[in-house]
Amino acid sequence: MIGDIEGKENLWVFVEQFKGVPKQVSLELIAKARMLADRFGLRVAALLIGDNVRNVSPVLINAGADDVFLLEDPLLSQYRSDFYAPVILDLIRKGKPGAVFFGATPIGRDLAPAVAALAETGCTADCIDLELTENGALLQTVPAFGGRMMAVIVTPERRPQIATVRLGVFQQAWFPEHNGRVVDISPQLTQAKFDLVEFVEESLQPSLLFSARVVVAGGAGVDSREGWELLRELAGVLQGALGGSRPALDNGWIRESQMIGHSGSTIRPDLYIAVGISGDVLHMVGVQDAKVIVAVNSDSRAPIFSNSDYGIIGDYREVIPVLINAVKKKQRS
Amino acid sequence: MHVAVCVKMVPAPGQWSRIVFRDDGSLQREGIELIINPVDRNALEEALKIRQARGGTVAVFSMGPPSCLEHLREALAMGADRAFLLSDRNFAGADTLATSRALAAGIKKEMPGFDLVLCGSASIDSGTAQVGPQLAAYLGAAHLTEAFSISVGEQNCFQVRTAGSHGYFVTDLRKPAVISVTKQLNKPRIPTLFDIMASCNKEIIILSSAELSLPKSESGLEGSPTKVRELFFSPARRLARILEGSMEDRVEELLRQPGVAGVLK
Ligand SMILES: Cc1cc2nc3c(=O)[nH]c(=O)nc-3n(C[C@H](O)[C@H](O)[C@H](O)COP(=O)(O)OP(=O)(O)OC[C@H]3O[C@@H](n4cnc5c(N)ncnc54)[C@H](O)[C@@H]3O)c2cc1C
Ligand SMILES: Cc1cc2nc3c(=O)[nH]c(=O)nc-3n(C[C@H](O)[C@H](O)[C@H](O)COP(=O)(O)OP(=O)(O)OC[C@H]3O[C@@H](n4cnc5c(N)ncnc54)[C@H](O)[C@@H]3O)c2cc1C
Repeated sequence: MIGDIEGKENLWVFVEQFKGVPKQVSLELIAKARMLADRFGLRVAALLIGDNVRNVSPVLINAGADDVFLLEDPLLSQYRSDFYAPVILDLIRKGKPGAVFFGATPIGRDLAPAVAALAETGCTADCIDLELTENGALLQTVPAFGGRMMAVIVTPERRPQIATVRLGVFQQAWFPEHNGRVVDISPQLTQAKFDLVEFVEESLQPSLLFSARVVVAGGAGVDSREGWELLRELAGVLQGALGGSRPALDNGWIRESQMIGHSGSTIRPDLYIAVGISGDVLHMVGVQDAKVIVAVNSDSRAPIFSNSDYGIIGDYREVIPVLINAVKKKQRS
Repeated sequence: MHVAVCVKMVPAPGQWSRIVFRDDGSLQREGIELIINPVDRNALEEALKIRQARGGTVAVFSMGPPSCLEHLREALAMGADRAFLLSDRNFAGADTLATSRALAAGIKKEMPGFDLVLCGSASIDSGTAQVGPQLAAYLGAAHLTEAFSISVGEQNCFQVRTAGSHGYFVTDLRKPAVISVTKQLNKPRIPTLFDIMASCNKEIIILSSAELSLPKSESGLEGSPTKVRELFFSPARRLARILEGSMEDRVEELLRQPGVAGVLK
């Protein structure tokens, strides 16, 4: 069963799936758990909860899971905290994992802290790195201090150590030869605390940010419709996607799915062009794995210049049109 | 309908650089200008609307240093009936679990018959969004997060719409419950001069850890399962090259760089 692994503090990943397709962030977390587990001979378990979701298991095993803990019940078909949290708590008490990872999605952010509170353990939000030490301590790196520093958070005395991680922070891996097993567990459902009346599906436009080779992003420094049209045109000629910083979202220039940074998307394009963005760490952690970062900013002291590869000091209204023309010229030749 | 609203005081944007970390990992915030966490105003606004429709009371709970007092005045001016400040050296350095435990103890003591607790979805300073769900666990109540619409129905029931990844959930929630709300929910009122005057005789009660029967081992830094183990500056690993010359020259130079030229093809 789940507790038969002689006192080892194994690593668990809560798997979020929609219509039988696991979420990308869950696969990324399984890959990270696999890496950490291999170093210390631990097992990786994927918690798969839902109704008729058994067919998701092979993907989770290929993504790196040794065990898929499968909990099926018609009442679990949609996520709901009042059932999911106690079910996971029960599982934790039996299996005694060292750590449990959740994607920092709307569901993960609703569920992980609730599970942590029920288990009276620590929960670290939006980690940008996870490391494991020999004695099983999980080192959870988060930006601190309004982003000027990084902090390593630990949960020294309680288990499991619970962490949430955003999409794109870790990279998915694929182990076609990997063997795993599916462990059926019958969930003990507790009393409902609410009635889920309905789930209204909305067709979301998938964000282009994750797949684009080039991303052009604007910040608080780009404050007019004409300015954003310029950025859109630049993104267009580079066949890239358009994104922005938090102020760009707050000011209504971009949609939520286009916000880049700690509380938005983490992306790794080949080229990232930041325009009118000061370079706050809470923004930059979202692009730290970009291959090349170019900054356009009118303030020569803006911190972004030390966090980018190439900097152009100047007003974007002057820089961007020249850049658009030069790119067009290069493409014609 | 008795509604508790949790309100956090956060450093005003622009005040970040003045915050200092103490050696024990707690934050030194003295002398820093505070504001009410913006989305917590939406939570309060919703509570006031519910009171308007259904009667009852609205109480505000905040945990923080004594400098939070004046901002609780603002919550009273908006229309809250009572305000409680959980303030005690023992509370300092709390992680979300210790924060939730303390807030739950305050609500249980001062508003034992609460129907609803409203929180903001996340604070603008640390923004973990964990306090709502954890508070619910300590209160033994149901919780929902990312609520963008709440309607109070017949018989103890609230219908709540919450945002998910692929759409939204419509939930009938029985009381007592904890709901974390988003800014889309409503537009918070701005108190008038009259409101401010009228709130002057409302009382703010300060609660210590002893009054909440919380031992030191369950409060603040000591009662927090998470600890800050290390702080470091993230190392710069970029070229940080500033391009010089006329604008045309700089742009040409940029497009010649291998990492940039490569993606133009
Ligand atoms: C950079 C940084 C990162 C942190 N990361 C973590 C972490 O990963 N895990 C962890 O356990 N702790 C963490 N902490 C500690 C955490 O910030 C504190 O516990 C804080 O008191 C509550 O967390 P929050 O502001 O993130 O609340 P959130 O959960 O984001 O706040 C949501 C709502 O809860 C209510 N609320 C929150 N705090 C209070 C309060 N003091 N009084 C009244 N109502 C309140 C408000 O309605 C608020 O809108 C971190 C602190 C810092 C500075
Ligand atoms: C918990 C938390 C999470 C956060 N998460 C995120 C996140 O995910 N993403 C994010 O982006 N932020 C996030 N933030 C906010 C972050 O801390 C910064 O405030 C934000 O990134 C700053 O955005 P900005 O660079 O666009 O604006 P600013 O810092 O205001 O910078 C604007 C820049 O534009 C330049 N400028 C002005 N005019 C011009 C011009 N004409 N031409 C060229 N340059 C010009 C200025 O010199 C300045 O450097 C978060 C904050 C907190 C507390």
